[in-house]
Amino acid sequence: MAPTHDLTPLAPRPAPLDMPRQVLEHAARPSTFEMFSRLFLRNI
Amino acid sequence: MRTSRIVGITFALLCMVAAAATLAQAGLNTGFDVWDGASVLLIAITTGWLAWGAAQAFIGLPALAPAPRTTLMNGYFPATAILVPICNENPVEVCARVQAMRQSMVRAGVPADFAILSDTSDPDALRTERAALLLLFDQNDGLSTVYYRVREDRRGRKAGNVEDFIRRSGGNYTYVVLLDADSLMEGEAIRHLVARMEANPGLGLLQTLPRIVGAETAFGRAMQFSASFHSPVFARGLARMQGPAGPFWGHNAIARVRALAQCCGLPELTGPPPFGGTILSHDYVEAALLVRGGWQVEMDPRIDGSFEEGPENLLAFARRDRRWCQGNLQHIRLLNAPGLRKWSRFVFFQGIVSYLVSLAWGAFLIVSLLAAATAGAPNYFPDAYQLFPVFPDDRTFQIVALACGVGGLLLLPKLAIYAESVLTGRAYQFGGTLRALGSVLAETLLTALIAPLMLMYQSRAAAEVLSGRDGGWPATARGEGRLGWVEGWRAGRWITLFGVAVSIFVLRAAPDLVVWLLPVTVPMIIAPFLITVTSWPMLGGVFGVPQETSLPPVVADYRRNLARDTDPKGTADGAIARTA
Repeated sequence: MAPTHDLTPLAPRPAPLDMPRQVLEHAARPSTFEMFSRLFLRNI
Repeated sequence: MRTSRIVGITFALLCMVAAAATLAQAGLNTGFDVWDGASVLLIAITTGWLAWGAAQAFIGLPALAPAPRTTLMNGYFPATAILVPICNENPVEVCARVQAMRQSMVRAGVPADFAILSDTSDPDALRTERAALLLLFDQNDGLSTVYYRVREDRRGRKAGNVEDFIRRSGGNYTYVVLLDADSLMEGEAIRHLVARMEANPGLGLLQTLPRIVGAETAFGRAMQFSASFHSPVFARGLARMQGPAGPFWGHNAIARVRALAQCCGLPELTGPPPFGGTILSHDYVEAALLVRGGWQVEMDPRIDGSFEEGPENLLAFARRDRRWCQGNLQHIRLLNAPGLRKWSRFVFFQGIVSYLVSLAWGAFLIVSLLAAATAGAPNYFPDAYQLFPVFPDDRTFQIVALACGVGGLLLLPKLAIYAESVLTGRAYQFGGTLRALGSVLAETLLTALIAPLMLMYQSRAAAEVLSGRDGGWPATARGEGRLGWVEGWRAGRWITLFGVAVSIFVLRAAPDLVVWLLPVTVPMIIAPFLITVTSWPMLGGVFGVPQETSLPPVVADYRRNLARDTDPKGTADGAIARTA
């Protein structure tokens, strides 16, 4: 079995960058029933 | 760029229409039925795809202007990291490659850090990996530091691995050179890439055309020859058509960290795999997102000093292709992604069609067989009171014309590339005009022999994905090389069975077609033999490439390092032995 070594100090130096999640999908369209319910059945 | 695109698409459309019209005419001669309709549609798709590939080659025939001579001023070298994402790879080989690139960078005076980004999950493999890589951390050349980190949350696979680095440490660097575990790059190539990025602040990513090295088997060397001889011309055509919306192949490229951070945070797609979840063919998507973000993405086949390894046998090729198939078909979900350029959508479409076309070829063969099998006997006296018989029109002319057209689209690009290599003197690097011709013919023959097998593998892969089966992300089998007869039989027996079934069906239902189908059925029946034999070592003879006759320094260093680090038993896995 190979010896284990602590390699934590070998990790790249931290310098965080913001990396926003890209949008690749259109927002799901509401179904006809959902549209209908939003218009007329709001209080049910 | 626009002209090249118009020429390429027009050529493909014209060939498509010509093939469809020829087959439709043949059908009209004998009464156009539903089988004819299906055949016309399928031949239009398949011929259009072949013509699109041929157009790329023809557009790539003229040489590009010499690569711009860019230099970095006053010894300035922007902060650059070379990223080596690995996942259950042979660590001794990884170590030897990093060492070889460091040696090359020292010679070229290129200061850049290495970051080995491990997604290795198996605890034993991880221990071996850590032990093997220790050698790298002890060396100090004064120019580069080697970093190493293991990711525990392995979300997003390779793209997620790189993304994790950019998120945590990207601020340290202006550029990252993206490599695969089997990539090699000369220090001078890295310097050139950095200088090109510095010269054009709008360039987000610059892709090289890596040359395949290290192939030893018949299959591997044929691929290596094709990649060296044919690919530069195809790549020139592609570069002309893509322009600044060019491709990214995931490795052997340089990227601007700011552009990656701004545009390439990939989301998980909604729904389960194979169409949802992690984006597998992330490189195409990242290229499209960079272009959407206003960055240029270029591919330059003129850049020397960029290498990779290829699959050594058909089985390894098919395994990789299964993953690519799922990745490309997943792009169906992204065709309508918001804000993408039209060309980026077209590139997705092209990648999708590249896998569906195998299904179309298979369907065309099946439809042709069914049409022949269900055709009734000719009616020589269709009218009740007819003095002379009416002979059915002969379709032979149209069928032969179609076969010649399809064959021409397959062969002409290769012959045109050969002519280009003779005229430009490039053929001399491949052993001279005669030897290069021998290699082109041998590669064409081998490709023709294995084409039905590839069709079967691709069709199976596409059918699996379309039926919702997730193939996962099997580790790339590097250097597995020679296959035994049992492995060959296991890999190809289903193709043999299919070939035998088709032959029996044709013999009984349409015996006239038996001869026409021999180029397809014979390779299918002997599939295990072909898979095994093409995995045998083949040194010398045909398929010679320049990188074999004059070994690039970084490749020579890699082999030396590997030989030194390999244990005496010859297995390149001596990490434990060395550190014990």
